[in-house]
Amino acid sequence: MSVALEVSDLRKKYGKKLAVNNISFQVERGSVFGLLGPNGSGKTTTISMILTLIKPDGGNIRLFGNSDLTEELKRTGVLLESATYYPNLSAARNLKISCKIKGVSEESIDKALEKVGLLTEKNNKVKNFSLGMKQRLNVASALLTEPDFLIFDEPTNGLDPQGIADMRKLLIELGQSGKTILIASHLLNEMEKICQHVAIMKEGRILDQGEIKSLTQGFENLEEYFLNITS
Amino acid sequence: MNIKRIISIELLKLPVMSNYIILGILLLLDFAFSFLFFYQFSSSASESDSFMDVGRQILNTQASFGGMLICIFIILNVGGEYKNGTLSKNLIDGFSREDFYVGKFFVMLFCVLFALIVGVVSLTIGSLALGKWNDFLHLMDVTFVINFFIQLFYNGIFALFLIFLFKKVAISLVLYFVWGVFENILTGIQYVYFKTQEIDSTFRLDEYLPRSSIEVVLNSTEYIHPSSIVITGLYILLFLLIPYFSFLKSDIKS
Repeated sequence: MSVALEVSDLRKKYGKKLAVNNISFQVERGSVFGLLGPNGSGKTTTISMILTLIKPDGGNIRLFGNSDLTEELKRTGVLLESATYYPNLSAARNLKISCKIKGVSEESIDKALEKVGLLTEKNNKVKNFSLGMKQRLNVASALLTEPDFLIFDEPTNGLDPQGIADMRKLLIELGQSGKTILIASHLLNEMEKICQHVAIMKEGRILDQGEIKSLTQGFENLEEYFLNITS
Repeated sequence: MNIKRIISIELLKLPVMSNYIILGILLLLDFAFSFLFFYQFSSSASESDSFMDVGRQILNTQASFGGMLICIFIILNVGGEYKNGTLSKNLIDGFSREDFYVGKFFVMLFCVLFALIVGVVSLTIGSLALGKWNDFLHLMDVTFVINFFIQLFYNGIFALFLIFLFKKVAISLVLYFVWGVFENILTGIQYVYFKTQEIDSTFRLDEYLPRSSIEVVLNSTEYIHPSSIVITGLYILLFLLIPYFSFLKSDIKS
């Protein structure tokens, strides 16, 4: 199976603290990969380096074999922990900006909005949306290019139970449709339902990684294994 | 780098109420200044003023207020991208950092051109109303319009410098205003305590200060030493390049 994302010896230092300490992992095409760990373990820093927001101090990142990440990110769908949008612009115009940047046709806007149930709200200003609607708009933005690779950073943060259930359903559907997905989260029960492979991070290092089935052998569930390995 | 694409993306972001309000205030102020100055000129009390002096007064006032509004516009525009996380979103979507910076440079240029056009139009209308069309044409020589443009442009790049370095709207706005006051205090101290103008008329502290140096170069009616132009040129380069390279290298919170 070919590799969608390859991270090798990635390192990031803030002052004396190593936020990410020489981590390496691969996400194979068509798999759902979970980057798990407690808060402050370096998950978001790792994701931010993949997304070119943070400059690594060392190591390599390759997306589809290409180290020019800016170019590859155009065909990657991303959902960040916090909803990001222009509050004074309409939902449609927010997506139009993404379309222009990604270089895709604006015809995909209605399709993406319909997929997340926001088509009727397309001309309304985003600042009037509820948190759940804003997160759905970000999902629509992530799905605009119908990408093969998706990156989600804490996708269920701030959502109500219904929102969490909807997000889980969406992630499972995307995974089943053959998309490659990288999810950073600290919600182990959710991740166990969605991911096939995981890497467990703590204090900037990867403690263990592999297929969930093989990692959790001898343990009741992922949570028990996680608590055992991180304690 | 595709300039057309960058401009079209920035244009999509512009139509929001706060932008309309700032540009609207700029438009109203420019016309108000023109009206008031021409009113003053046409009244008998100010007949000693020549049309040229009044015209220059108007444009200088428009340049200072226009510069301030451009600064506020740019700081709010770029600061909003940091605050709303849309800067991260743009970069993730595939906008390079160079594209983003160049885009904001064009937004600044758009504001400067808007202020320039509104300033010239308001002056034109005032001149026509007074029947001073020939004097107006004489006033509006190329050098004068370029000076007006440079004053506005200098404020614009200073705003880019502040917001890309400090990233926060409040800090950048406070620094913009405090910096101006601080330079005035320094110049005042030089004049009051050292009476430099009497001792050595060639030395002027304000030509070495970031915000004042441009006014020395553009508004001086006397001989300008080439060093003043070099200093101002260096400040222009620093205001453009420091934020650019700092932005390229800085980490952005997602």
